[in-house]
Amino acid sequence: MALRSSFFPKEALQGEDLPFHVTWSNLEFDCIKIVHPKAFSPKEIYNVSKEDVTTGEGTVNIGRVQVDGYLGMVFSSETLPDRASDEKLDCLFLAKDDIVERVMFTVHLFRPDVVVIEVPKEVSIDPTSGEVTPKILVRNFGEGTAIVDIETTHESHLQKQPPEFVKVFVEEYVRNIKGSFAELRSDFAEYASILDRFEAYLLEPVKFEEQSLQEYQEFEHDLVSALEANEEFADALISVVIETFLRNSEFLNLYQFLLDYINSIGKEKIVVRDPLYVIKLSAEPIELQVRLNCIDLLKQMCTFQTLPPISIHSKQTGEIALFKLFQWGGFKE
Amino acid sequence: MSLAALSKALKDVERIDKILIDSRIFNFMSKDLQLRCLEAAVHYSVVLAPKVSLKTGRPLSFDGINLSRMSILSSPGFSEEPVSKIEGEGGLMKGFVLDPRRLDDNAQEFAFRFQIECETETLLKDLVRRDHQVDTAGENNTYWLHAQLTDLRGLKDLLRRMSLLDIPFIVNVAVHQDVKTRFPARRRRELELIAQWARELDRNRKMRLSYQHLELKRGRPREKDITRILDDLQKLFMPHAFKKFVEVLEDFRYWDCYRGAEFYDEVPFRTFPKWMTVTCRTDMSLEKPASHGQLVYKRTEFQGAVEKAITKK
Repeated sequence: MALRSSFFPKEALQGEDLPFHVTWSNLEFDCIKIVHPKAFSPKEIYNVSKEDVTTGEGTVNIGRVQVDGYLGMVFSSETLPDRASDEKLDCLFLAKDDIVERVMFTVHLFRPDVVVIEVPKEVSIDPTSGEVTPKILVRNFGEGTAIVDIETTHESHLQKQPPEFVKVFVEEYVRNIKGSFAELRSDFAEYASILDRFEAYLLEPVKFEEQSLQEYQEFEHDLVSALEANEEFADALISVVIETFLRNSEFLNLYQFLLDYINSIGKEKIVVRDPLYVIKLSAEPIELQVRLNCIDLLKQMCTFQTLPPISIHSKQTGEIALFKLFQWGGFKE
Repeated sequence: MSLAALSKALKDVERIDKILIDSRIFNFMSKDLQLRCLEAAVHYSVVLAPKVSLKTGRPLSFDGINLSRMSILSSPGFSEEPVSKIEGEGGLMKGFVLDPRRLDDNAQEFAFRFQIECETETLLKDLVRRDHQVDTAGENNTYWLHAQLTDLRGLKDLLRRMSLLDIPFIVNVAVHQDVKTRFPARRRRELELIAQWARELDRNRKMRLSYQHLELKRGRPREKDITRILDDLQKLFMPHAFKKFVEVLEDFRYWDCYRGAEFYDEVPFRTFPKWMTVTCRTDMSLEKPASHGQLVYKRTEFQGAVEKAITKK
């Protein structure tokens, strides 16, 4: 067999970079032709001089490789109209017009597809039992994970806020983390810039907006590189953050942690960004308007929708976690 | 693609070569370079054969090179030959010195190994393109991993033999759905009650919550205590426990795992992670310019372990 190894992903998120390689030995050919879908575009080509590459619509022709036996590439993919699609890549080794070797691949490209199914005009809430009727139904019809952020709009009369016990926790946590990070900065001066940005994100989590997400992605890339490069730094950073968290955990109790964890995960691979935020209820009907922002695991914005205003009815004052107004996934209960 | 970082590391290799060539007592038989990511070092190995009597040689000083170790093995005896350290102010090591006159006169060849300190991550960024799967489709549990050399021609021009060992990959494995789906709804009510009880400062309301909890417990006396559940669930996320649910195949191997972070959350490190971060490693060389593999998350087995942690007393 002339082909020694080849690779193209079997599945990937839409928008993800798709690596490809093929290696061979004792193979005589005139050129390599790659036929790819329009949704892909060649991003990197390895072991080939620029003058030996010609690209057409959906094709890449490689005249010759620099070192015989290896061709490497990276394709970028784009978000497709369909939430899932199987796309094909064909790699042909040609001698004159004959195919001397061929390798074909299929990649399943998917993404989350979060859809707001039903928004009631009125919602009744019992803050004591936590009962909410009817709920806003949100589903993820896609195969990818969706991270959902629920925001209250400026026009909304009800605004989301952290409950008192969380406020105290976050204040203490942030105060302690600042002290711990100062020590880390002196021990790992080369990572000072990463630590600065890390601390900034701890103090103010990233906004689900294009620009902020892009900056966040850069930070994440730098952080992962640093963790990969220096195990000592990785251990120290993780220990500091977890220890600080546990040191302050008296403000939140362990049962709350588990509850919060379970509450933040919906069906159909929906993860609610922060399930702790509440809205304050009064005995009078009051208007609530929310906006849902979703990102996938590549931190790409995938859904953002402002819901119509909802009249919130409660018999008494109190508070309720905002996520409880939603049914995440499944059919109408 | 720039090989600037490698060229910088190779400057030290060139200086070593120059010292050995200028000594005029050795012939180069072979050279080998290994980039060792775990040690953050380059290992440069050369096999040398004496071309004249070693007794004619003068001491060779390997000073001013980022060397952390140097060793020599002679063959055919495979005995270690003496190398002295050069110490600077305060006993700090400055380099190594070799006196050829002290080497085994009967040896046919000497295998020199130099360990050069370097920033391997910078080198890797120049040399290797690394990709891995970010999310799996639906319930799938396999993550692909891929590494490829970006400038094979450039590397071959610089070196005849080179290996890149223990190249790190960090992969986030989603575990959130597996804890959630196995946690019974009835226990969630109990959890809410206890969490509320712990936060409550008003004595009367706290008493009321205590009664409610007792009532709930009386109805299901055989159920596992929620504190034990918490404890047993925690244990599943310890590296030694979670590694049983991960298998890394083909050209890659498992290295380590730890709790993943969610930086987009208000509190990014929770006691129960939604993702476990797994470090895998692979090796590459000029003869093997690409490697691919799979990380298999044993979802069914992990779900079984979660269920056991929730139900088994």
